[in-house]
Amino acid sequence: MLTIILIGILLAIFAPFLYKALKAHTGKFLALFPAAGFAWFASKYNDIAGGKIIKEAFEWMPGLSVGLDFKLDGLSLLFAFLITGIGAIVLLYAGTYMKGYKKTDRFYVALLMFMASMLGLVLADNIVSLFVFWELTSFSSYFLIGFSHEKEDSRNSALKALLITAGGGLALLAGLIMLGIAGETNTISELLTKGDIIAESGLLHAAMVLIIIGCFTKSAQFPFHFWLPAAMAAPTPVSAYLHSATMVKAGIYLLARMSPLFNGTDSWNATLLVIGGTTMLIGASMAIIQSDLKKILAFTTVSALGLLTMLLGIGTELAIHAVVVFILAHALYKGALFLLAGIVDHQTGTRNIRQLGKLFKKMPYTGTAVIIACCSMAGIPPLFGFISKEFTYGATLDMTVNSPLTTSAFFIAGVLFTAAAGMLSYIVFFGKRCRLKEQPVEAPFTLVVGPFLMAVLAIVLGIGSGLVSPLLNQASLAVLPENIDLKISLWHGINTELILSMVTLLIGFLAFLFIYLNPKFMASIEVSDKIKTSHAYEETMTTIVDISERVTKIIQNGNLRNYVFILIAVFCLLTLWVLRNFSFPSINILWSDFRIYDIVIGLLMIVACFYAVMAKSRLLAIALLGLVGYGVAFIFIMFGAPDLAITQILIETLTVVIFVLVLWKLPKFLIFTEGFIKFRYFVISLLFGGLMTWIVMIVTRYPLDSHLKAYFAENSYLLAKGKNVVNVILVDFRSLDTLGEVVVLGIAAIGVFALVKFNKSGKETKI
Amino acid sequence: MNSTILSTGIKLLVPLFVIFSLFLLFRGHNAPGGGFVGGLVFSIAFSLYTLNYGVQRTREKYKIQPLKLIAWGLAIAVASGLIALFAGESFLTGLWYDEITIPILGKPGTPILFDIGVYLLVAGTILSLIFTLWEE
Repeated sequence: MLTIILIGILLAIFAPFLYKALKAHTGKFLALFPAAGFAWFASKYNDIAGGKIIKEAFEWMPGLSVGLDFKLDGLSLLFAFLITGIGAIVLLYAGTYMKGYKKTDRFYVALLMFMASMLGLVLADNIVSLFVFWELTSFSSYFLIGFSHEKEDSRNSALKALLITAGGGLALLAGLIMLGIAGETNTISELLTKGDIIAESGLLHAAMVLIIIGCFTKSAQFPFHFWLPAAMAAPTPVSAYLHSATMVKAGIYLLARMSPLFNGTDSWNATLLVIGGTTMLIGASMAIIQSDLKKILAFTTVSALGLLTMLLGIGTELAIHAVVVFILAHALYKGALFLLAGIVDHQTGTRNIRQLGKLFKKMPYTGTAVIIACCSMAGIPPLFGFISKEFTYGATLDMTVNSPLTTSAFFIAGVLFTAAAGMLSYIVFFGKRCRLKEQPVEAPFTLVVGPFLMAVLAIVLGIGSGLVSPLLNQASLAVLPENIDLKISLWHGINTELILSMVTLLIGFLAFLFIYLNPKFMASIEVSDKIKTSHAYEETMTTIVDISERVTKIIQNGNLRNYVFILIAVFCLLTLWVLRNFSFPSINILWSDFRIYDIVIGLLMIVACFYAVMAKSRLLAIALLGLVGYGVAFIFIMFGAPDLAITQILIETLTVVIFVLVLWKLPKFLIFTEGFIKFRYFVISLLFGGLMTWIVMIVTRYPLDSHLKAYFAENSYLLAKGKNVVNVILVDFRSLDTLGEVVVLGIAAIGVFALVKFNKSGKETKI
Repeated sequence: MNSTILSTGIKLLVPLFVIFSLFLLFRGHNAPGGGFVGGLVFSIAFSLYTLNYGVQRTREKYKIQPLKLIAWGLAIAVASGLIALFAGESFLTGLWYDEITIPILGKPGTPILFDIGVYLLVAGTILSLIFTLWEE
């Protein structure tokens, strides 16, 4: 399993080069990767369906019990199929769809990165590696939403999604760590069996709340749901893949994965039930007042995620069955619908249902696929969506308490789903009004084939549901270990579920008729900003920016002298605080210790310092400072540190060169500082100099801890095969430090470049 | 800032500086020198050239792209660490090939590679600073 993930990451890295070679065929070629992954997972189908669990473990940081542990069970396999299967379709689709976009190579990088990390997420069996993959999906989602980065709207949406999901990710991290501490293991499968120990430690509830927050942000639950409709700024293949079929279900996946630990805790079930129900109703009602195809789909996705959360909150055997069935059903029809909406957009140039109509004759294949997928969404037999709806009704009716309430909540959502399905299919393909200037034509084969396949699969699975029932059974066992066997079939006989289902369809149809016949009324509905949580988010963001602007104006006022003054003053105060318990060491100078050139160099440096302060031109001051620097280098030489001395000399030289480059452009040297201010600088300089002297005197009073010195001197040649101890320390013993330092150097250079070069004229410059 | 002596001399000195910087880089493991110092010497050569002839000519003549130097330096330094990782040691462990000894360099090993990375990165950083500030 690690191999598949690594191949994905490598492909992501090399995608730009592949793109250069393959151009328009990149999508088709890259689709081979998820297809191969799908085949590999399919080869494990029989094992998993038979109840086997495949594990893989790689050591990563064994000291911290962080490992790349992977586990393939029913739930993971279900998700892995979705990720690789839909992934292959989406890549194939994107190859054609993305032709009009620029820099498509970046798109493939982010998409493959996402694919690999999402696979890692659903396979991970270690809380740390799970978290790493979790965050990687957030990042790749950020890049994909903001793909059209020249548009302000997509940048904002991308940032919104990142702040919400990564913020939730932090909560998740804290929650997972708590679990790890309480359960004394980082392996998820072990943690899940240690419920009692974790409960005893008292961390269970805190961890639960944090994990719930993490999952809710990722899976767009109320009140965090608003990032998902905004994420529709992403290219359509991304919306289909990340924001309906896979990534947004990561939260659901983790909730399901953690269910064995928390299910049965009242607060867990109540929270999931209430928030999930709320999200479901908000999403569904927001969906039918939209006119943008993708927005309708986005809100129904929010609603579907709410439904899944609600079912997990119910937590009974039937509810878990309903969860796994609905995950599959939803991924199939919603992924297909997103891709089909993308086709409509691609061929007609608009996604507004008020402008679309009568498309069926011109785009028969797209139209057929949409109708099938919408039937599944509405829950019309014999499609898989129907089975899923039956299961959900079964779960809500089976509840011991609050059954009428949840059943009616789901009933309302079901009605609205049906209405939305009607809007997506009937209005667009048979609607009377069509306000398109140009006549659209059917999309090319590569676009239609993927979603068509998914739609057909919804029929196949609806009729031959036995095909997937062993897998879904194992998936539900992973959530609820002592679950009864799940039996899927199309016909259960005439029962309450079936009657409710039919009534839902009927009322849903009536609701659709109302929407269809009153377009003006629907267009006039507006939701007040005051009750939107997205509004609260915008407000918070503007306030934060406001405050930081004000703070910046105070502390970053552009006066360089002030900066230096404050820096040194703060440093002095802190040092004084630390040194307050140290006495001032006695001074006893042995003049006989000094050699004549020590004194000469020292005097030279003091004189140079004095004149540097008094200098009336910048160039002179810098030359004098350079002299001080060379003096220091000379001292290094005299005390046997040639490496330091060489570096010091070179740095001094370069500093002078760079200073000269800058000074050259500055205005004439003028003296602004007078009287008190000058005195202030004088005092602070004296204080700083005095303090440094004091520190040196304190340090030299203590004998040097010579363990390290002796160790390095002894082992430098033996272990590191170098005679120059300084260099060996830099490149071998402490090379990680060096790596950090040189990275900082590089970043500083890029920072200077950015500061100086990217002026507001927006001209591009090359270095 | 035009000095005939410097502008004539630097043309001859650039190759010398570069050779000297390489010398410093490779002897660093056993005697004073190393990647950091080598990188500084390397960048001083082109800094002086730039002071006399400007960035445009330096770039045209020597085909130097400082940001690329930074990127390659970082890549090489990280790669030297990854080699150890793939050999089953922890990141950045020094690995040596004991069979042969090369003059000046001594035995080849990943720390030398790391030092080369540092050399390129330092050179790129300084030159990027100089080029940017000069052009502005």
